[in-house]
Amino acid sequence: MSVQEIDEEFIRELSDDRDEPDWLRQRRLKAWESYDDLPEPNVIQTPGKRWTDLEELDVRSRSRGMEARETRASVEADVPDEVIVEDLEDVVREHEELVRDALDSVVRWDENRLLAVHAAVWRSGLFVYVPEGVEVDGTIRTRTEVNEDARFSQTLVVAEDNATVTVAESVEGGDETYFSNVVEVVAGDGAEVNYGALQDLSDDSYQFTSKRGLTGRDASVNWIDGCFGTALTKSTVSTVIEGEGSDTANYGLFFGTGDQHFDLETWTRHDAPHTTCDMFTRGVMDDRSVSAYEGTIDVTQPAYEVDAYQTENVLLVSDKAEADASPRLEIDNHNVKCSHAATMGRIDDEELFYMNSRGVDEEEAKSLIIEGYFEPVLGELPFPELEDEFREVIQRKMQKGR
Amino acid sequence: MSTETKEWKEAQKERFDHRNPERSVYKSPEGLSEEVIREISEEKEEPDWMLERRLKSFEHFKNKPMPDWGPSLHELDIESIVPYLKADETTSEEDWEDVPEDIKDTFDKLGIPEAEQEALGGVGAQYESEVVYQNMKDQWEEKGVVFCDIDTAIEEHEDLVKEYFMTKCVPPSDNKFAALHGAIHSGGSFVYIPEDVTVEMPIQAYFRMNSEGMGQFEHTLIIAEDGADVHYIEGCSAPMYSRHNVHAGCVEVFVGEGASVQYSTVQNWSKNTFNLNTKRALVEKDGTMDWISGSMGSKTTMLYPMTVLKGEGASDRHITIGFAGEGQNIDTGAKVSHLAPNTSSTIESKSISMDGGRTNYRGLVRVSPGAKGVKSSVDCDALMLDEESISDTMPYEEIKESDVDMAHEATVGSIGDEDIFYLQSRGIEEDEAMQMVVSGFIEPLTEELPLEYAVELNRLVELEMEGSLG
Repeated sequence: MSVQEIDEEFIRELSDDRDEPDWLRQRRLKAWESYDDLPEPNVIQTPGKRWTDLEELDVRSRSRGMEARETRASVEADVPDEVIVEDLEDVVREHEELVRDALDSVVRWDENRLLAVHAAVWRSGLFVYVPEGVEVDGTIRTRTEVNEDARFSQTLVVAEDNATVTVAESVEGGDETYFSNVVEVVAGDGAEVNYGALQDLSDDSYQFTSKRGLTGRDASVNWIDGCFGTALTKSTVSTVIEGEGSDTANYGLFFGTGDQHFDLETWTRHDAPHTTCDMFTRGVMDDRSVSAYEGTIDVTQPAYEVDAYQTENVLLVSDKAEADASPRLEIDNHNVKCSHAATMGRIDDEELFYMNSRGVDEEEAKSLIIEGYFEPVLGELPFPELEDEFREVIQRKMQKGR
Repeated sequence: MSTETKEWKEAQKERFDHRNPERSVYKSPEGLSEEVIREISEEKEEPDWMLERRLKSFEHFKNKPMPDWGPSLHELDIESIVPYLKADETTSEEDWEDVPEDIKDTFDKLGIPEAEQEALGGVGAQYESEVVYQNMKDQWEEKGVVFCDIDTAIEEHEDLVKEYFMTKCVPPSDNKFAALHGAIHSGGSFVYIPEDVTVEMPIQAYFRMNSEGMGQFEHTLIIAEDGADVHYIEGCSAPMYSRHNVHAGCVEVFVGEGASVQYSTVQNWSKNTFNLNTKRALVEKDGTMDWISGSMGSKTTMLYPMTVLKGEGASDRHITIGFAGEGQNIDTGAKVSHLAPNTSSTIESKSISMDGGRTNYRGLVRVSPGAKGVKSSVDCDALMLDEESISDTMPYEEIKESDVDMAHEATVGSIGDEDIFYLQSRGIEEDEAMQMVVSGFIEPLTEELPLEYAVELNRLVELEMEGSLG
């Protein structure tokens, strides 16, 4: 099933196989038809330079072979009975109204063409529904080892008023795989949703991901997103703060080695007063890797008394590595406190010298510094088990580079 | 507010809003065509190579798209702009008394001759499309310093102009408005500072548009040879009309080894002016370039002075202030390209928006591979004085070298109620307190300017803020 093979008939078949309701089938078909009319995902362009070339993703021809091999996915969840944790494709009929309400309520498929392709052919993903007032203590943990040529994962997390839930996903495997991952989080009034993601696919794979949360009043949506694998990643992690008194934390980690290219976008839109956001991303770039980071705090006119902070730090450990950054503030209300800070630098010679003088050889000293560089973000994680995995991946990547 | 201040403010309004009846000995038709360009060139009795460059620029202009990434330009109708207007036969007088009376009166009101006597090393004044007065103090003229309008420079220093004019620094193909400029440029200054000469007092050029619907396209070419040192100040204003005026100036600065150039601009164009400039400096080894820009006026400003640090150890400093009131969109910033090792740049941006005005910082810092030991810091602060105003910050950083030290910081906020409350408790009225806070906020700019200009700028801010509190 290559690009030529994906057509209306293929999509109808896919939909029929799952006995999908008509609205869902129509959504798929419409999204597929709209591909040519939709823009590419936003990529920064400065005079004479486009920060990321998305041609390489070649999404339509990569959409083939979705069922070629078996992907292993597991979900661990210790949740009360009234909480739903299922594979989304299995529960569309059973929880039709819930799914219909949540789908497209946060991320819309017509925002760009990669989202349209995703909406046309998505197959699996996680559906989490937490009823009003229910607090889920443990972490809902998903692990996916991708063994397909292309995987389109659609996740919906709905937390009703005053519900609390934490989801941690990790993705690994891949062999020239195209991995498309859309996550929509809806947090009702007083709800709290924490979503952690660790992407560690093979270095010849490709990732397109858009994760977004929407808050009610006094709600909280928190992200930690780690980007380690793939040849090319285009990622957006964002929150729309719709309700008064809400907050969001948006933390990110990335570690580029070899020829990896990461295009990472994080943003928060404040549409309501008395809201706060804390965005903090740290990355290390080694070898010939390239990172393009765009972070935006957008405060719209009705949002006053907003506190919003954004920090991005990049450590360049190789002469050939490149880091591009654009931390933006778009402020339409004067009664705010917003700031951003970005730094880029290399390992301090004095630090190395100091460690050398203490008998730590240069390679080891470098590793210690890199590890330490991620510490301020890792320390903020509300997911202890994911934290260990993050550390393992960082260790492994450092060893591979040596 | 004291009576004295009120009187001063009335006087300021008269000063900037003063308009003379339009007069011209030559006025081009509206709009752009090859014919108009040929006429301008003929009127100026230019050599063929300049006409050829104009026509080539016009081709670029036709082929370039309008920039779609910044402020809206849909109200700008280039086809109805008068590209060239010569007010009088006499150009470039060295004696102020010979300048025609009404024009002299305009510059007298703006305080130009007064400033020349007190604080400046040289003065040029451009009215409509041509320079009407240009004078340099003898002490520097004797050392070989040249300060004249571009037409005179073409006559007297043809080789230099031919070599440097829109060739190495800002080619007409750079952007739509640089191309427009290349086609219909007129007036401006040529400054040449020989090796190791320091001009201790600033040189100033003042640009005035008087007529409705005209465009001003002056070109400034500054060549500072190795070890030279100069401070150039540019002032701009125009009275308010209902039709749009356009100002598309171009500034090219060549900073030799160890040379130092400071370029200061205080722009107070009327609020019907589209101010679309291209300014760029090429800096050799150990040279220093400072851009100090205050954008107060205009309807829309797009201004991003650029420094290319070509030689090792070269450094750049940008201080930029944007002040946007009602109906204004001030889109300013800075571009720095670090091509050589151990180069440094410091960018400091302050913006103030009020009464629905919009300010935007847009900046780009590039570090090329191999440019080791680069240091760069970018600092943007925005102050918003009321609910209707908008302020955006969009810095872009492209770092292709690991041995760098790069930092960026930005803040946006309003004037703290506590600050105002404190000042009020000390018996200062609210509007005055706000003005004090704003004056403090823009101090990094004012302290870079000669005292007269600093005072002037503070007063302009006061004028803008007058009556801003309901």
